[in-house]
Amino acid sequence: MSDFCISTKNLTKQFGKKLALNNLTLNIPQGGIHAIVGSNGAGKSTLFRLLLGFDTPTSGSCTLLGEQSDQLSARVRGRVGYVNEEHTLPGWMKVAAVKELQQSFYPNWNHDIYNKVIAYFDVDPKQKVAGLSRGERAGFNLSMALAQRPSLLILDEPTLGLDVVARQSFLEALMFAETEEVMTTIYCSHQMEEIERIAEQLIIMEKGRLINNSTPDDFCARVSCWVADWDAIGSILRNKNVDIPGFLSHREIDGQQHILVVDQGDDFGGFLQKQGAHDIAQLPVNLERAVNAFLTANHNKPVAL
Amino acid sequence: MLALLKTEFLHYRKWAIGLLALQAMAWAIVLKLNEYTDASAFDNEITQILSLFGGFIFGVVQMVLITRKNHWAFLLQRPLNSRDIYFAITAASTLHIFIAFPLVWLAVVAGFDLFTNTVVDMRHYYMAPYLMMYSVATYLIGNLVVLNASRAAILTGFGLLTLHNDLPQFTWLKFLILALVIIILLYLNIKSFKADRFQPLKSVSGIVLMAIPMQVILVFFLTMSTALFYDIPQTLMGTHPEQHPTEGSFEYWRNIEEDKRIAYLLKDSDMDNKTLFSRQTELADKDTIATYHSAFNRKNQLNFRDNQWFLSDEDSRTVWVFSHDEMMLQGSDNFTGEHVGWLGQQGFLDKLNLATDADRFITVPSMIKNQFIVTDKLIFQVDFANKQLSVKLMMTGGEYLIGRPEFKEHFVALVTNKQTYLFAAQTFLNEFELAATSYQLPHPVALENLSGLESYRMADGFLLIYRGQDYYGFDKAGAEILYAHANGDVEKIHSVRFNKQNTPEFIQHFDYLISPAIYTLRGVIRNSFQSSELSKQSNDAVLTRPWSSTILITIILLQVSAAIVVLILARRFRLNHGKTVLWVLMSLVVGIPSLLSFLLLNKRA
Repeated sequence: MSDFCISTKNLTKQFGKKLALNNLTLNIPQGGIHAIVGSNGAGKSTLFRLLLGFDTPTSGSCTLLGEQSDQLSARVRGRVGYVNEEHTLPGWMKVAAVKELQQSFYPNWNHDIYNKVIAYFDVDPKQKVAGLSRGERAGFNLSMALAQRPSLLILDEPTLGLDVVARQSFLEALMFAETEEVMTTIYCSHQMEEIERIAEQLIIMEKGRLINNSTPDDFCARVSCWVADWDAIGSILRNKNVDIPGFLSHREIDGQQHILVVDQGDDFGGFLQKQGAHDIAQLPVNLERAVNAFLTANHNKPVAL
Repeated sequence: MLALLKTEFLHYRKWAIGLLALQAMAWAIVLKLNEYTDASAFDNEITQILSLFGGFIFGVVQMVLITRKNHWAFLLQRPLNSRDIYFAITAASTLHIFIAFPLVWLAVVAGFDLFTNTVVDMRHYYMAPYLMMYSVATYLIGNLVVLNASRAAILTGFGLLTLHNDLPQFTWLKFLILALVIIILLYLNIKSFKADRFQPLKSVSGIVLMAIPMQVILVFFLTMSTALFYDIPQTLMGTHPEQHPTEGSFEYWRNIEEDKRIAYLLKDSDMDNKTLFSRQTELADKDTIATYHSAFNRKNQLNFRDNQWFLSDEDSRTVWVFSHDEMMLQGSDNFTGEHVGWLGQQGFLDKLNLATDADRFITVPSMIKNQFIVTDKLIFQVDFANKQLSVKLMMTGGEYLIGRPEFKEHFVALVTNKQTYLFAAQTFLNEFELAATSYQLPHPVALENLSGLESYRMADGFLLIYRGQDYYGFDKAGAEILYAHANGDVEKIHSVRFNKQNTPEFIQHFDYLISPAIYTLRGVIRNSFQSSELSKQSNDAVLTRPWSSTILITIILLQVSAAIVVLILARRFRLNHGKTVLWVLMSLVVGIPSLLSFLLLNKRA
């Protein structure tokens, strides 16, 4: 039995000419909440579809709870909860009927968890699913996924389109369940404050590749922000005549240059000095800023800019 | 699984009930408008068409809704086998189909049976399971089209259904084949109902069952394609052989003016008086007599196949409908519907309990001209005025009628498997006794070589032209003129061989050229499933046709080329060794249709 609940090896998926996943090798150990972040098109949803067997890799392989994804047994499917961003549920059914249907498939259905989680949301069991708000649907979906007591819960951008209150309820419900059950949660989101709040492990994907797999703190430690008076940076970036090591992004605030770099030690200050910068200082970086800098560094930009 | 079945049933139950109500209303209106409700009211093709399209559309729509990206994940991401999930959905849909299609039919038939004196045989009830199975089959085809990785699966589905539509005349065989079609479709759907449904089927059985029916349909389309690359361009250029038949060909002779045809046939004859003879035929009454087999009614056949099944006597205002259960005609009053008696092989009976086995017909007859009861061995004539039944004709010694009698202005023609009989029309129609043959004309060639027979009524007999594209053997067209004298003698006047072909050989036999295997397979299957007397070409004739070396070499080249192309493509598509061998072998045997099905069923890696 593998120690990893998710394991991919050289996983590649191509849609026509577009490379959605590029030789992705990723191992996610059991337990904890693992956040996956990445810009749109980074390959996160494709990864989930491949893991759940709904797509077939162009090359490479992946396993879910020790089973090859393209041959998942009913037993393993029963151990995996999956909540997608649309919270797709049969709209023509009433809430109670959907719950009853789902419950019939899971012998270990936990009524207590269901009731406690659904209590975070104002969901009427007699109401048709189609009549629920997006937030209510998300809460209902999460309640059912958690009541199944999955070993692995995959949440693919579950708070997308939810208002602040619904998002708050969703996270609270998730964290409550996390304390109740032993499970691995894969949480995919663009909301950094959510990640910051719940993630124990941060996986960053870019253009189908893995670019970080560490704790959020470790990741933040990798990114540093340097503030300096440095007039020459504009021409350096334009002419690319000097290579700034680990450069991620830069912004000018109140006449001072804020430079974000990755994997640079204190000697980066010396580098700046050497290049003519003065009044140099290093500032702490929060997770959101670090991740944003990471993701925007290689983002496509129009040629004219 | 049961919970899923229940849920899926609840999903569409209102639609099914709505369709049931609509049909019930339609039936109520139809039955209200029909003053005279006889068994023909059951013969409603709309019900069949509704079942065909209803089942298919339901199958497509349901699966399209289910397979939407996240809905698909919601359905499959459960601790259930995908096979069980599909079974639950199909079982629920079968219930919907039962409500939507056969139930109303069943209710109507039962209503007739219980509350009227209309003849309702057990076979009328068979229509309900038939409609049910038919709708389920088309529903499964709809499913397959959506579920399978290849949209061309529609060709497979309808290829299978064609098998059932084309062939069986016997009810049990029709049910058996339909059941087989359903089992195959169910198997293919279960195989296609998988998490990643965009992956082609991997199992050998899946590939073969997808490919072969598809290839049968592809042969049809390829054959039709001659219209695109040959018929239409040739017609537009004004050079099509149909517009300008080649002189010396069978088609050339068929295209010349009717009056000149005899003269054309006789042009090389050394007859002394052929000009006079030709002129006589120009003035003669001409008729065409069919020499092809037509199906007789079969016991317990599904009622939509019924043909000429009742007699009506206007004087007594009675109608006599054939009952398959009793194998006799049941009489009833046209207006009140009350029973008025029975008509069996030995005549009229007042009560059913008076009938003996000898009264019951052995085979199901057809009724003609409101007075003849015809089976393939016997013709009876009914005299309603005197309540009598007389035997008009009786076949013996392995001879049987290949079709119903043809009533012409001056004569009645009967074609059997051995000869053609001509009777004087007035005597045949008006004298209630065994018919006296005026002319008895043994077929000059085997019946399967004949494509038609034309008669010219002369002063002292009949001139007959026997003709056929294969008159002297396969692709050896010919015609023969015989003269049947009034004294019964039959004289051969002249025979002609048409040595020139009007259409290029590769166009004429394009269906064989593109796949001899499927051509032969279809012929053999058709012969196996049909009653032997309906076979247009025997298996021997199909299997031993002397094809020209040009055709044979072209076939070999096409099939080998198809196999080579498949081999190259299989490597590009990264098929494994086993599948490559399978497709190459299939292409070697089946040829171009196999290559096309390979392209339709496989995706480039």
